[in-house]
Amino acid sequence: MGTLWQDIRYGLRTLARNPGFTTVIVLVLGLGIGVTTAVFSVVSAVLLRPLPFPNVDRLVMVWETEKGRPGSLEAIMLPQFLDWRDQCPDFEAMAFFEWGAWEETLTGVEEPARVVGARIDPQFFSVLGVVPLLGRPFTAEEGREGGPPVVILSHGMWTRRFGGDPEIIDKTIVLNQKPRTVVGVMGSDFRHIGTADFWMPFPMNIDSVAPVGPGAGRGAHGAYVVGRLKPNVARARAEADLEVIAKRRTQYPVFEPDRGVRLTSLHEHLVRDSRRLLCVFQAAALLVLLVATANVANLMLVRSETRSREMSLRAALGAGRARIIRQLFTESSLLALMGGSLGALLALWGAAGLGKAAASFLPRMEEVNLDWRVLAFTSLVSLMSGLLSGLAPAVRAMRMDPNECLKEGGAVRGLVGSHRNATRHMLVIAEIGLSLVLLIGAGLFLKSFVLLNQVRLGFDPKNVLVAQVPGVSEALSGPQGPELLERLSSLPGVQAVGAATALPPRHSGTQMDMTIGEDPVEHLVCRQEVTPDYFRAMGVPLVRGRAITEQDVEGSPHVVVVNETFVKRVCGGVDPIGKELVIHPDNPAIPRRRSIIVGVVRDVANQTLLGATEPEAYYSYRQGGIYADSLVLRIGSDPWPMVIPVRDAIQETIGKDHPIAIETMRERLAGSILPQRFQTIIIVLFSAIGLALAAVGIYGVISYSVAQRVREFGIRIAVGAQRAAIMRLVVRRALWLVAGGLALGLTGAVALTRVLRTFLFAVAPLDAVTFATVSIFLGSVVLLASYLPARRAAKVDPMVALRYE
Amino acid sequence: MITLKNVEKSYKTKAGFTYVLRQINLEIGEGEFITIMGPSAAGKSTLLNIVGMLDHDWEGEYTLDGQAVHALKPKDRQALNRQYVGFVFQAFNLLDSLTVYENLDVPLSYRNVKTSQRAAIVCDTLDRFGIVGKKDLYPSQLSGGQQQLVAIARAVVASPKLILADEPTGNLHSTQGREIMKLFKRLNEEGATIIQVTHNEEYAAYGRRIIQLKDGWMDGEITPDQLLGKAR
Repeated sequence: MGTLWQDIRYGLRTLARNPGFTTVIVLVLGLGIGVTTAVFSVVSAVLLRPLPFPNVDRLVMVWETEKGRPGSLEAIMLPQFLDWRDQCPDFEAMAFFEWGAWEETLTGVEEPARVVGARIDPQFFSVLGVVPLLGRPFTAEEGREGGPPVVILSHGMWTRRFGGDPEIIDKTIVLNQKPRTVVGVMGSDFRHIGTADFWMPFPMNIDSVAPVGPGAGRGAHGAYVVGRLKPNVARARAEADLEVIAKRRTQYPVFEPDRGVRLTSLHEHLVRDSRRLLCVFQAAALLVLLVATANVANLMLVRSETRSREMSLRAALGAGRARIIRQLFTESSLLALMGGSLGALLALWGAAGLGKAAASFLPRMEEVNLDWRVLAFTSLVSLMSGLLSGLAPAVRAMRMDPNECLKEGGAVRGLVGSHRNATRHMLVIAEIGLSLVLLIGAGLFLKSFVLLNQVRLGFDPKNVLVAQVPGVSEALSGPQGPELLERLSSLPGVQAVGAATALPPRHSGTQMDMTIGEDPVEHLVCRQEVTPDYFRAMGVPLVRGRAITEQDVEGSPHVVVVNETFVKRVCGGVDPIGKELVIHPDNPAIPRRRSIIVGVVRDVANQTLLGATEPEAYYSYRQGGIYADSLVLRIGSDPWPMVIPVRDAIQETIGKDHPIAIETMRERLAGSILPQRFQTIIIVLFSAIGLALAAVGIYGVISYSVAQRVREFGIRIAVGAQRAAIMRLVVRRALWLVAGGLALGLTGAVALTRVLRTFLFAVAPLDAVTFATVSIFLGSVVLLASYLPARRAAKVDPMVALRYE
Repeated sequence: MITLKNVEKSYKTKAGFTYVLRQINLEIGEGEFITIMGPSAAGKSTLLNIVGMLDHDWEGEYTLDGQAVHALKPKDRQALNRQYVGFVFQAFNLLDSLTVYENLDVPLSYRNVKTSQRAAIVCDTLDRFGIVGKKDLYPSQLSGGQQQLVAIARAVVASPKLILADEPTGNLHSTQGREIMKLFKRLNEEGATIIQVTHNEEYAAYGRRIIQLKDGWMDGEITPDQLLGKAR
């Protein structure tokens, strides 16, 4: 123990004597460890940390599956849920909830605000095993249609909007102009499955077993079901029991024979979309760490060569090989410890940044922090980096011949064998190879992102404002509708105003079975309602026929406009104008709706920029109502100066209680590819760090190699070599390293980029152009890094070089 | 062949200029064998480097075979070096990572000699110096004498008119030293102009003229007989 302490003291003194070397190593390691730790803090929060519910291993999500389509998970029909809840003996309790966010307008406070709510079964909290911090959960009575209007607030909303008022229980707040009584406030540690500022009961009419609300229907797969299994009940058994119960149903809606039941753990369900992405991030961060470690190992190796005489002296004074190796490992571990500390500091900042940047599309981001698990990981990677970077100098020390090292000029000749450069070169090749894998990954993400930005939108997003106005549907459907549209259209600079059930690129129109004329074949078509000027406001070109007009009102013949994909897929390319389009509701009790196709418009990337366009049918908002929360306005020039006049006009027409958020269509489009943008930035950032480290690495190795070969260059110049020949000699060595690194990197990239397939848009994981471009780019950077030492080599003065001897 | 007029070399130091060579005036004819002698720091190696055009930072006039070296740019001086000069060093200065054969090939490759011609010239030189059996060995596998033999072979492989040898026997024992000097004598008889720097009076006597340097100045010129007589 005493000798170990001596080694540590000596190691600290040695490092303090070489502040430049120590600083560089600590910075390089800190960067590598910091990046890895920051990503791990996210991985830990999302994937590894159990959900904060008691006996969380018994919490499951219940899904319907389609047999023959592995991985298909569908929400449950409400009547089905009720059967299971009442008949299945395997669950302690079951509850359903609405997955999507439910936006409402909070008024009666200082400033109206849009808040996000979730509608839940009164049993929801008890299934999860949590109770409110203040007040109580919902009662069964409050979950019935016509039950008292109540609400439970999240801790965040309670503190932000009501200043943490301890007397909030039983007070009334106004949501969407309806008063609701606060019956509870959840604790700060409670995280909803999804996002929510408040919860309200899902109003259900028990007699008709149908939920009440837009889009509700007995046959709709709209209920997300969470259940708590009884102790020692296996998921497989519960799945089998649920399937038996489902198949007993004889009433509408029945459980089709090709359907099955599947249970997933609640945690798994929450993180399943993020798992692969986080694994890719973690792998990329580990590659950065490996590049950093190889860099440090190389620097340590170079330094150990300059310390050969010192080590030989130690050996001559009686130090065994083991003691010398321990000394080297002690120093590398001390450096790793310092690098790890710096890394933890960088990670603290990086993790906060990651959590903030990804909060809108990765779950549990608010839980990201540096807990004991993350710090243990940091210690482990620091230790591993220390051991790995100390390995090469240690092996070198084992192969050293002390007698040779102590002779004059023996510093570089004391090694057994002639491969003293091989290790350094292998490390550089590894650095280049690892960096290439990172860069190819970045190249693929970048290309994918560029292509995503070049997707044919089908409309003109330039100079379009989108005003999100919760509750605008009611105004549009009522007498205020035409007045509102008229008022906005008359604003100077406004060319057209429109509204639709859903705006691109986040379509939420309803998919329905439809037929053409008397043809019995049903097609799945996306349906939405639009105002007359919608296509003009969006800049959607009319291909054939006419658009929806002011004359298409209730009482006149029902009309519909379809898109090009509809013509191609549903009509087989035949002009559909004049044909009858019939909607077949899922529930046979609802009458079919018949409309005449009057026009065809260009395909619009409604669903998402990533996916293919589906057949779509646009109906007149005055022939069936509209559910919309946004208005679109085409402005003649720069749309920004119109923001305030538009807001004022809306509020003056429909009232000031509507919180209005206005953005440009371009911003909206950028927001829709935020996850892709985030992925690309992260991978590009990591690969830039890897590239910089690799460039520094090869610069260091070539520089050292030039310093070692000064005498050789002097001789060569003395016997007639021109400067260019010397440069070629140096660059040729770099070229070999580049070639080795590229070969290694390309092999690695071919093997690893397959996992990126799901994240790429219109780019193959083995995209030859990306592979070639990135290889040439990396090769050029590395050659550039070797150019400076090569120039130095060419300037060697033969007289000075030869005087070395 | 070589004319030096008022050649001087100095370094700028804090204290002013420190001269290494002062007013060197020297004529060396083609086919001569010249020895430069003098105590340490007399400027012997510096003079050799200037003559060999490795050193470009000096003043005065230097004419080599009618060409005014002092008026040439460093790049042109280098070209002249390749055309005229072969160097032999005290420390052999062979390239450790190359075999004997490759060490001999290097100067030819820098003179853009075709590969086929190079092979013939190298083989001929190996034969001439009796080192064919060593052609695949590395310098570290040879004795000091053998290494210097290879170094001289490398110096003459490109058939230079001028061989410059800086203490070529300094690292050799006496028998090896004498062999090397006999070799220089033979090369001189074959037509090469040789300038050597040495401390050893016995080897210095191989030269037909002995130039003596002291503190950068020329301190006279003597014949081998005068040198040996003085030694006795």
